[in-house]
Amino acid sequence: MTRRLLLLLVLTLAVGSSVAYAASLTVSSWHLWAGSQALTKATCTITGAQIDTDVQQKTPTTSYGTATTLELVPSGDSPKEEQVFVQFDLSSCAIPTTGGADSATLSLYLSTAPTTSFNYDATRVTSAWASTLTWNQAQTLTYAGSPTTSPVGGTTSGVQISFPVTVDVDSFIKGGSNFGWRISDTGSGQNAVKDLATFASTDSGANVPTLTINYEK
Amino acid sequence: MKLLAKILGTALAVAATFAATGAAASLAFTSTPLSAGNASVTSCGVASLSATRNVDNAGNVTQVTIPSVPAACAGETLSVTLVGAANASLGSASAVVPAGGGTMSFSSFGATVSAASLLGYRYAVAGA
Repeated sequence: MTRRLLLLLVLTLAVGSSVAYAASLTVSSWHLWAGSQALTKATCTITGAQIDTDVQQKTPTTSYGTATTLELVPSGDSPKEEQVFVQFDLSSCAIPTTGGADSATLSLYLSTAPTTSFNYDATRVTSAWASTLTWNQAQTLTYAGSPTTSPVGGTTSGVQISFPVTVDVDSFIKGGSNFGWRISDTGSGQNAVKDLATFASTDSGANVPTLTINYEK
Repeated sequence: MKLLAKILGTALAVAATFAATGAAASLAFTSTPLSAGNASVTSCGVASLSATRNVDNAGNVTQVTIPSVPAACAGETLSVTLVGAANASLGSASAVVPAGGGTMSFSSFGATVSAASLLGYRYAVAGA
C-alpha cells in the first residue's frame, strides 16, 4: 500500500513539474531599441538674386547682367526669343545639409505683362553661368530634362509671379549643384513686342527677385 | 501512517501547484499560441538614428533615408514612423536590416505625408 502511494506521488510530481518546466522556456537574446528624432522648422527669405540676367536671341553675344529689367519673349517669336536666368545664394540661410525644404517659392515681379498669357517654365540649370551670360553661351549650358514648374503668367502688370521650386531647393540644401533657373516659355503669341514680359531685376533695387524657403533641420 | 498522510498531502499540494502553473501557462487564445518566460532585452548596437527625407515639388515626402544602421542589426526589423503634431503618426514603414547594415531608404509610408507636417521620426529596431 505504502509503495503504491509513493509511486503515485512520484508520478504526480514528475508530471506536474514537467508541465511547469515546459511552460517556463525562455527566449534568451531578444533585441529591442527605440528612439526618436525631432525636427526644427524655420523660414528664410532671400531678397535679391546672387546673379540674374536675360539673354536675347537677336543680340546673341550681348550680356544684360546689369540691366534693371529681366525680359522674356516666348520661343514662338524666334528669332527674337528672350530668356531670364536667376540664381540665389542660400548660404545666408545657414541650413545644414541634413535639413530639407518643406516648400520653396521663387517670386519675380512682373512689371509689364504681355498681351497674351503664357505659362512661364522654370527649368533648373545644371551648369555654371555668370552675370555676363549671353544668348550664345546659354545654348551651351546644361538643364534639367523638364521644367520644375510652369505657372500661368497672366496679362496683369504689377504682380508677383510665384514659381514653386521646392524639389530643386531641397536638392540645393542637400549639397546638389545650385546654378539657379532659366525662365522661358514655349508659347506663341502675336509678336515679340506684344508678347514681351518684363520682370524687375535685382539691379532695379525695388521689387527684386526673392526666394522664400520653409525648411526643417 | 499519519506521517505518510502528511507527506502525501504536501506532495499533492505541490503537484497541484505545478500542474496549475503548467495549465495556466499553456492557455491559448483561439489560434494564437501563448507562452510565458523570461527574455534578455538588449540593443543590437544602435546608439541613435537620424533620418533625412526628400520631397517632390508639391512638398510631399518621397523618400526617407536612414544612414549608419549598425551591421550587428542585420536580419532585424527597422521601423520608422513619421510623426506630426500632437505626436500623431502620419505614416510608417519598416524593412529588414540588410547584411552589413548601412543606409536604408523607405519610399512608401501608407499615406501621403506633407513635409511641412512632419515634425519628427520614431524608430524601433527589433529582432531576436
